[in-house]
Order: sequence, then structure tokens, then C-alpha cells
Amino acid sequence: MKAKDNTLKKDGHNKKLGKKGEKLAAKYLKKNGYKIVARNYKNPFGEIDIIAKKEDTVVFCEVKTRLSDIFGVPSEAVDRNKCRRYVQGAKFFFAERNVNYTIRFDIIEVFNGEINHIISAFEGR
Amino acid sequence: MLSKVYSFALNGLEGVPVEVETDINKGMVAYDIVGLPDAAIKESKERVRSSIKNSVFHFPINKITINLAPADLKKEGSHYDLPIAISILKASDQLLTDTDGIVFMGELALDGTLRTVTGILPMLISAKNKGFTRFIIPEANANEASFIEGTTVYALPTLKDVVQLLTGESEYKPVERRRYADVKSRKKYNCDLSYVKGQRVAKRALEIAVAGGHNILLVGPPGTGKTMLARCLPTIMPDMTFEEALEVTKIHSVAGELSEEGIVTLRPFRTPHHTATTVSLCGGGNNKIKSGEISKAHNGVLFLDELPEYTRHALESLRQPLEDGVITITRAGGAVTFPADFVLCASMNPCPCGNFGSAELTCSCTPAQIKKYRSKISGPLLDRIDLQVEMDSIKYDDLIDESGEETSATVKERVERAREVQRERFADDDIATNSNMGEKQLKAYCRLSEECENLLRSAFESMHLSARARSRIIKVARTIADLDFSDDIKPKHILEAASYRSYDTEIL
Repeated sequence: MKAKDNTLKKDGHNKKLGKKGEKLAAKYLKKNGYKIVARNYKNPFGEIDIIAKKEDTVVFCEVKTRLSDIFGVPSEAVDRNKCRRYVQGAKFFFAERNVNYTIRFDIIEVFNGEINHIISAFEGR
Repeated sequence: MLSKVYSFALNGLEGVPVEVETDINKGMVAYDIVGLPDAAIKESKERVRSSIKNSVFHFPINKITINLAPADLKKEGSHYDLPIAISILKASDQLLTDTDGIVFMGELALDGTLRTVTGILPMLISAKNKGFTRFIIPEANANEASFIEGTTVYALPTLKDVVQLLTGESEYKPVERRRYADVKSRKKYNCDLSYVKGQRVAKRALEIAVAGGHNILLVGPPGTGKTMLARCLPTIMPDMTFEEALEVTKIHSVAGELSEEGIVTLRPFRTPHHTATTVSLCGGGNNKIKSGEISKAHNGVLFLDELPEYTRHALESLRQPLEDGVITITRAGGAVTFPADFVLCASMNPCPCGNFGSAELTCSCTPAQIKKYRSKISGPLLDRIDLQVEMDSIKYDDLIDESGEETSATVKERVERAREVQRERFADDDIATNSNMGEKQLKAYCRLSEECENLLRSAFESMHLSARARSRIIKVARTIADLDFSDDIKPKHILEAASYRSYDTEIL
């Protein structure tokens, strides 16, 4: 889930940018042998950008897209709160599914079109 | 996906085997340590992760659970890093060899280097007694481990080396056995009894104190050489036997005060400042019970300079260990016994201005001041100090006189002979020195003639001595007789021993 829209930018630029980044990230994951299970998975705790699967691992992916690093690198914007929401989202996702998987939380940074995949960026607790 | 590796925990000076179990499983990626770890072990997480990665292994991205068994024992210290890392490598099939019967201890640096840990020696000894013979420890702890017979210890520099040793990829030599006799003679004290001029009485008292393991109090004006004399105490004490050295080293190893050498060869000389708290003197602590100064002075000397300046509470707490030679520290979490068999040497001024009783200088204190000053040291404590010596400032001519001062070596020879006599006498008893004699030994070895008995009676009555003071006078007399090579305690020995009790009586 993206941060709340900046009220000063009603043109939806950031939203578009984010969508574009997610698209790129999904393409990247597919290229690397992942199967996309869900995109923008909405749950009571928020939204999970991409849920992907590879062998017996299910990956919950947060995609962060930036054009410049004026506000820091993309992954820095994933704070503890966001992590918690992802973990809860994952638990929600598996609440009615079989949990015979390794569950991992990744961050994919899309920075000026370049992709940086951080594997197991944070842990479920 | 499950592995088990052995390490050790310390409870006081006792080692307890700890099984480090790792389970790697499916589920939400996490890394948990259970089994009552302290903060240092919880933090090991990051060290272990980085050192495994930087040693070119793979840190598994799975749900990792580490259990330190037995689960009800509190685990402390950083030496679990290595067993945890090895256990993870085993559970993730990166290390396939058997590690049964090997004890791992070591702290990891982020780059995979093994860092020194404290308490290796007591853990090693306990582990050996429990049947473990193979150990892997950090390279820097090698010296400490080199004195224990019947063990194979590998002291390695990095995590990678440990793995290569286990897989047999590289050959490593176990730590070479060193003999205590070889390292013993290397170190020297930097003071000598001959540097102290005059003060014959005090020197004689020191000799007796060391020969029989008695406690001593030096009283005198400032600048008369009390501290210098006290510093000479270890120089006239007999060399430590290997067993004694091991006991001392164990305590210092746990306290993390061990030098490069890996073993304490010189008798400890501890001088806690008079601001010392009771806990720092006796030992204590909430989670981990640590040894205090009196235990670190085990088999050596505890020197309390300016005795009346210590807090009363701290001084009174010394009473029981002075009597028993051990201290049992009890906390809610359990009780730990540390050895604390030391020679107490204390020094003080006779009065606040320091000149009371001096032949040359005038004292400017009122009787009330002096009384108050001396009352800071309680009777029961003074009762336990067998030798109380008054010193006076010495004349200039004596100061520059270069002749006639005995060296520490000469005195030490006499002390060693006296100790030899005691060792033979106490061959069947579980004690080493005269000061440790109980009532049973007093009866057996310190038979007094009628003349001696009468002398002692008159001293007892005129000096208002306690029953303990009486038996302590006999013990000191026994030591004086030993120094004299006399089988019987003679009247002159009793007289000399009683003369060192001058401070028990009220002077004013």
C-alpha cells in the first residue's frame, strides 16, 4: 500500500509512479522464476503489493518506487509499522490456507527503472 | 533439519553442560533463541548471521528456532556464538560431520573471527570432569587451556577454520600442553623487603603472618612504610602450587582479568580502595553472581589501606569469610560459593592526625577523637586479626643505612620451611596452614605446658581476651614455634604471640 496521497499533489503522479514500479517488479519476479499469486492483496491491515511463490516459499513483496534519493533510498521508507502490517497481512492470507511454506518478506526497490531485490528484508515476529 | 551441539554455562565457578539445539523449518522467516538467554546471547543473532555470511556460508532464510537446554538455567555470556553458528550450519546441511562430544565456546566477530571469552578454564575443568575431552575455543584463549591434562583443545582463529577442522579439509594441531613449572619462574615482583629500612618488629610480624596464614594489622603514623611493607607480602609468600594457581586462575578467568599468560603464577595482591562497596568486596550481583575482591585475593593478600575509612558494613561483611575461607553468596536466583582464603593485611593510622604514640611527633587529637576513630573498627573484626603491629617513624641514619636489611628471598626461605613443617603436620587433615586449624587440630598439635598455660591465663585476664582470641594466640604461637623449628610451644612463643594483640585492649 502506498502512503496516503499527498494533498498538494492531486494529479495522482505518485500513484501512477507506484503502479508503474509494481508492474516492473512483477515482471522482474516472473523473470526470476516466481509465480505471482496476487497483486494488491487487500486485507484488514492494509494492502500487500505482490504475493509471489517459488518452490515452497511464499514471498510477500513491498515495492517502493522512487525517482531520486532526496528522501533517502526507497527501502528506508519501509518502517516498522509497515513491516508489522505486512506480517499481519501474511497471517491473514494464510489464515484459511495450508501453511506448509516458508514465508518471506522482501522489498523490491525500483529506482529510476533499476530493480534492487532485498531478500528477507524483515522478519515475521 | 535439527542439530545439536554442546557448549557450557557457568554457575559461579561450576560449569554446566548446555545443549544448543537448532531447528530449521518452514513457516514465517524468523530467528528465535529460547532457553533463558541474557541480552548478550539475544544479540548474538546479528553476530552469528553476519559471521556466517562473511565466512562464505549461507544463512538459511527459514524459520530458525534455537534452544539452549536445560531450559530452566539462565545462560549468560557471549561464548554461545560459536556453538549457535555451528548448530545452524549443521541444521542447514552445510556441515555434515558429527560433532558429538565436542564442546564449542567462542564469541564471533562480524567477519567470522573468534574473539576471546571469559571463564574458559573453569568450564574446561568442569567439562573434563563430566567426560568431555574435545574442545574448540578461540585462538586467543589457547594459553588458558594449555594446562589441563587429558583434553584435546583446538584453539582456532575463525569460524571457517572451525568448519574446516570438523570436515577434515585442513589439518590443525591441538593446543600444546605447557607445564606450570616452565611459566612459573618467568614473572617477578617489583618490590623487595630489603627496600624497607628498619621496622624490624613489623617485618617479623609479616613473616609470621605469611608463615602461618594469619591476618595482620599495621598501625603507624603516615609515611612509616606500612603500604610498602604490605606490598612486600606476596614476595615472601611461598610459590603457589599448580593446584593453587589453577584455583586462582579460575576466579580471575571468570572475572575476565586474566593476562596473556593464561595462568596466574604470582600470588594475587588486591588493594580495593576504601570507597569499595560491600558487594564489590564480597561478590554478588543480580543475574550473574560475580566474585568480589576477597575471592580475587584467594591464595594471596587482601590489602585494606586506611582500614577505618572503609564503610562499617563492608568491613563487617569480611568477618565470616575471614573465619571460613569461603563465601557463599545467596540471591533469589540461587547460591554460589567462591573460595576466599586470603591473608588480610590492613593498615591504619593510630589516630586522625596520625601521630598518636609516636616517639618524635606530638598528637593533636583529643582522646574523644581517637576513641571515635578506633571505634570504627569493631571488636569482632579486630578479634580476627592475629597480629597487630605498631610502627613508628624511623631515624634518618637508619634510612640511609644500606646494610643489614634482609631480602625477600631470605625471608621466603624461612617461610617455606615453616610451611613445610605445617604441611607434614597437616598431612592427614584437610588444611594447609596453622591459621586454618580447628578445635580438633588445636587439641592435637598445640598441647601447652603448665607454664605456657599460666602465661596465657594471665594474658587472657589482664587483656580481657575472648575465647577466639585465646585460640588465635595459640595458633600464632604455633607458627612462631614452627619458624623456630620447635616441636613444642614454649613460653617465649606464647609471649611473642600475645604481644601482637596489643590493639585488642582499650588504650585510653
